[in-house]
Amino acid sequence: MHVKTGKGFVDVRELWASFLKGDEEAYSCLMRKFTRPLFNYGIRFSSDRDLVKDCIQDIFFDLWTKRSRISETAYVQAYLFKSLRLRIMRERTKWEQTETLDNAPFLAEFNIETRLIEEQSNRELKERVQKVFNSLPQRQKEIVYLRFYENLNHDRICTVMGLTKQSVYNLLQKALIKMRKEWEIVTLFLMLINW
Amino acid sequence: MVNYLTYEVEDFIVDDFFIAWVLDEDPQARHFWEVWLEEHPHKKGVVMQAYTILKGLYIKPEGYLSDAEIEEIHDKVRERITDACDNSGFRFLLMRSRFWLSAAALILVLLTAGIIVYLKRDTAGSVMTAGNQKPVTLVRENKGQKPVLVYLPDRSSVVLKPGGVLEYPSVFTGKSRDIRLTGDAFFEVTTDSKRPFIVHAGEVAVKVLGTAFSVSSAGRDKNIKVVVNSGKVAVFDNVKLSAEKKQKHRPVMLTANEEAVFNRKDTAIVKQKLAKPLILSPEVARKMFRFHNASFADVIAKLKEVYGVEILFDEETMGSCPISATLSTQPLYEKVKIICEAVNAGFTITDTNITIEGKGCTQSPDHN
Repeated sequence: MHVKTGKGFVDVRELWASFLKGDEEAYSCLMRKFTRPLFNYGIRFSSDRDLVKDCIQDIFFDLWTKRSRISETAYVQAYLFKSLRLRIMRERTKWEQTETLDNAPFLAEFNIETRLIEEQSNRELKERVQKVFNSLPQRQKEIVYLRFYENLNHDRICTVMGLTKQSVYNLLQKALIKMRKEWEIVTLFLMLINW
Repeated sequence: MVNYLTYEVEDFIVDDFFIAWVLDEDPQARHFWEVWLEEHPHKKGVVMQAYTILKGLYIKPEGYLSDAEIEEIHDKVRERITDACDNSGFRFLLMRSRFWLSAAALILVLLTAGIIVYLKRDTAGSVMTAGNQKPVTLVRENKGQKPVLVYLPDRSSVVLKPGGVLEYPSVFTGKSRDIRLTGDAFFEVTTDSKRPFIVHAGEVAVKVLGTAFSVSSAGRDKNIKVVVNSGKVAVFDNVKLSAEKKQKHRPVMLTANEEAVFNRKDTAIVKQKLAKPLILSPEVARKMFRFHNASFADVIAKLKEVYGVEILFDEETMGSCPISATLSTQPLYEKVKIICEAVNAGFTITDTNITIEGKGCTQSPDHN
């Protein structure tokens, strides 16, 4: 379930402004809108569903009780994602002392599913593209997830991951170079697809 | 201004403005790209490839949350807020009743969507597995006299015999692909080593990773029979499975041309080898489904004979089109698709049959 950052964005921002003023309807709306995307993101740091659900509960609770201290932000989704990310990490370190934010695994398996990818040659292409995505290091995977799956732009990815714009750019660039190497072969397969 | 003319597929799929069009559906970006494509038609191929990849991207695990789970989270949050500040307690209660109203409305919408998806399935014959679709349980009952083809969201084919009832989700989301069968059916399951395919039929559960087999479980008093055409299949006692979940329960393993019979009286599973290999076992299928310059009509006749499903086509225009193909391993749906593609025809799956429509072909097979 995507929250579109394009057209629907104005609405989310209005929602957020109303919520900050103490509007309960707006708060309910925010919860309804973001619970699923948050869970989808959170489950990548921990496969413990209950832990992720509890963390989502915590951040929504904090959101309401601490709203007077929250400044207006245009990046509602990024703000919530960031909160959840930090919360899960904090919970995790209670159990696993060695874990740090930088090397925490990001559980994501990239797949490409389209009607066009059913023939044998396309299937090989699909597998290759998937392979490239899936062989990325954890943080690069996370960036790709946020960019491609949650449609967050670079600014918002910085907010979520607590990185500078330069490091997000560098990480994405690294991922691209890796892809480019693999893709020289992939593009050959792409040429074979009929349109 | 970026020079998009030098862009290849991998450049497009990571370009912010390109993604703005494909994923964010930004109208401005859309306009730009449509104009750009008109100006540079030779880039259309590359652009559409990048478009397809972006559109098709989804990420596992899908972390599916049910509506009930979401409601539970929201209720708990509200309870905590109510506990934390008594003053707003009453208002939150009010809000909650409004919430229930909207929840009821949502369920109604979902139900309608489910019905639409179900109806669409039957006419269109195929449903895409979208990454973030909510699964709805679909029920398919064969009330007719002939077997029918049911195409599952994971692209597996099921030939459901008359009187059979099949229950399956619109999307497979869990760790396994679970479906429920009453009656008889023949399964051709697509391979997915990470998500086993499990057929629950009465007291028996049949677990596979990707293969062809049939299950007969008609009538309460009759025995349940599992026959394997190809691949490997594990047959579990469903009752024992749930009762002794923690303990290691040994399933009966079957391979091609073997069958297992579950006796409802003494709840034992007996395994035996078939006297004659099945038509849809690899060794027979390899010979039977290798067509060299055969007529379209002959190929269809063979499919009808083996699967028992009614397949309609215009004998006059298409019957003599030549077909050369080896169709031994594909599920029925794929087999039909391949031969239709060979003669430029389309097909639809309905409640009672498969209908192939095409304009025919110019040559006919040379009978030598």
